[in-house]
Amino acid sequence: MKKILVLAAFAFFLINANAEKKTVNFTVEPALVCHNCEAKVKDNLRFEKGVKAVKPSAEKGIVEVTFDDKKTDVSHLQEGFRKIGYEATPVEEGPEVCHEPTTAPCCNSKK
Amino acid sequence: MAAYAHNDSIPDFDDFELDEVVVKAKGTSKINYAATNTELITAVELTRAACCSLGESFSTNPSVDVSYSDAATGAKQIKLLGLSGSYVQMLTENVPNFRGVSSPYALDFIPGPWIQSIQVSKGSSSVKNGFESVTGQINVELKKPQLDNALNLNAYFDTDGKLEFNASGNLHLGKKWSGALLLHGANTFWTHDGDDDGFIDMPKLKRASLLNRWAYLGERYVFQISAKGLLERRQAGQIGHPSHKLTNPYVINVENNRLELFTKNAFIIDKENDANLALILSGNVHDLDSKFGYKAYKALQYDAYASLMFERKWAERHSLSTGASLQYDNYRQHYRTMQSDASPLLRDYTHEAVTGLYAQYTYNHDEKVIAMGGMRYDYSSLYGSFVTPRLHLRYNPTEAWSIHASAGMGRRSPHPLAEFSYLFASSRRFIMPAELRMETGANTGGGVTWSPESGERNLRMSAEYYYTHFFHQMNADLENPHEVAILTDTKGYSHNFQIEMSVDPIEDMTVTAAYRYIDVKVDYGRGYQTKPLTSHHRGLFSVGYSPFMGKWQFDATLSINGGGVMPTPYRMADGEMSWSERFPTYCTLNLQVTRNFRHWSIYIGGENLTNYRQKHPIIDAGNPWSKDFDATMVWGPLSGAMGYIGVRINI
Repeated sequence: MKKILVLAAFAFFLINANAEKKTVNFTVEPALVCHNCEAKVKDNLRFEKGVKAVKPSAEKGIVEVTFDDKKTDVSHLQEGFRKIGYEATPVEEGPEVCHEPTTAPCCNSKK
Repeated sequence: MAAYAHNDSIPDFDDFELDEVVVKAKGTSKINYAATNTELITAVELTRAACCSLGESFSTNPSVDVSYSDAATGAKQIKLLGLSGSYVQMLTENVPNFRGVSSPYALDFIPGPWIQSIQVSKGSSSVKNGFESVTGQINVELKKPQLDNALNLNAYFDTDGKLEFNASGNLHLGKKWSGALLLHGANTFWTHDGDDDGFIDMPKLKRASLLNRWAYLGERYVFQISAKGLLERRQAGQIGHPSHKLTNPYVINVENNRLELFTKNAFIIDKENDANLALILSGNVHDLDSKFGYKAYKALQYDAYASLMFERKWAERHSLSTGASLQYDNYRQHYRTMQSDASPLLRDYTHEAVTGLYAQYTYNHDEKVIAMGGMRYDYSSLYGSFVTPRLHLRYNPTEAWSIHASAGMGRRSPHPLAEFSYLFASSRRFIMPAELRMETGANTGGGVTWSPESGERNLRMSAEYYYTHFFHQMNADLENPHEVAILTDTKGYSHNFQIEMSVDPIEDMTVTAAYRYIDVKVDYGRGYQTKPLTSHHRGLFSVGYSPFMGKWQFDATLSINGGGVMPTPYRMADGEMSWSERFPTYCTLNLQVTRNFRHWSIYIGGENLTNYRQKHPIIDAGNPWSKDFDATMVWGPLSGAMGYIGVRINI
């Protein structure tokens, strides 16, 4: 029994040791306009499986998501965004993308 | 948001905007764009501790002290700037509340989960809300119907045997109407007597309350209506499981029934210059029935409040607020101060109407210099006319620095029975004052805050000093151990100095440390002496760590209460001294762990984990019918370590 536990622990460690942290920037539609929008994205996305860090920025118009690529991927994350009403598109690294502030519903409404 | 910058109390249609932004802000923040010295405690901060009720919501805040009034009823009192909470004006949703008969128990009347935010203002506040605040103002904002279209549930259980249940639900009808229903129930399933003095440590409590509110947000008209009902029963005394049968147990019974109603109407005259006219109407009925052995205090209080306010701004720089108000209170009190069934119930019926006018001007230069001056004139049907001026200044030389100062006067109508009835939990002879006169106090002070923007360490430091002087104060003189004399011609003063620091040493962790020095002196007629049962020093150290994007929360709070003097002790019948001349310094430690999930969270924690308790807080507990019996000499925790667990669900 003890041997199985040790092996299981080792295997678990191996799997996680290989876990790769990947960071992808997403632009979202509707765009993030204010602090409320940022908070809504962060508060909800953090519960998606495999997500390690969520850094939304209304200023830059992007959401930076760091995740374990063994547990999730870009399309699952996009599903996560859809659950809270956002269409997310990954962007390549490059100059910061700015969005014109739109009349984003999250700033005037709830949840 | 903009209007809040110029006003101390938020014009109501802006309430909603303010809450949108701060509802997600964590912790306690100092408001640098208000003329007054205001701190905002958000609902997020309240999740760091058990916070079952308003009284428990200040456990991580260094500015407000909460303590038990006596060793039996569980009634709590707050102290701000070292002075009694009666000098702090309590507001709910910017409407004055909990005045008179309800004030000794008010801190338990608002369940923690109902609270959206608490604004604590130190020093005299704006004249808009009336003349009653001397040391400060506490405004509790409840969860608004137009914010979250959600259902929130909370269940809490602790090792003291208390089970609590809270629920709140919002409903949106179209774009303009929204409504909310808030519910609360609490019950104590068992009692304990940790110090084995025959008296249960915490009262046996049953409470139910319900609040229903509706809001209409139109283009030019905003309307709010709210109704709340509360029923509460407390039992304390020799009601545990006694090892010996008692023929005549000493029992304390307190029943509170309360009904609150308010409506707010705001007419937006000109959106360009924030011109608006607001009418606030509120009415409360409170029925208190308390028995302490054979002593009794029964009171029925009706109070009504009406306030009409007009506000306007000019060029984003000047703003004027002016208005009229009417406050009416009717007290029907019956009381017996003798510990004997044969003694008759005495009557004290009183009513007072206070009409007032105020004007307040605010100058705001790009939020760099803010000066707010106000004057109130009031006429009381009992005490005549008086004025209460207030002045607030704030100077923000840079983004990092903020300097504030204030001066003002405040007045209070004294109600000795309503405020001091908890002293019936003793054999002391209750002596009513010969003459009633208004309490008059003045407060002045100021401070500085420094919060540099550099890096992500979020460093914030502040220092402040306040001096309060009472020209006429009502005090309970406990010097004679067998008497409590209520005097209305005492004088007093207090010096309060506080420094505070908060920093994020690592990501996701916030550490707060604060120290306060308090010097309160009262002249009961024998010259100035240090006020008994008041600590000289207070320290608070709090750590909050929320790693993994806040999915886990770890909170620890260490509170250090300095020693102080007791009323002069005396030698009792058995030769022992009643108590020590001084009470010692002691610490309490609270810890909590929370795990947050998408739609629910679970929290588990403990209070007073060092198990420090005041030994034998009840004097002569073995003979509650004797002349030495006294349950009011309380300076420390009354029960030992306590553990709790709770669940919150958000749909």
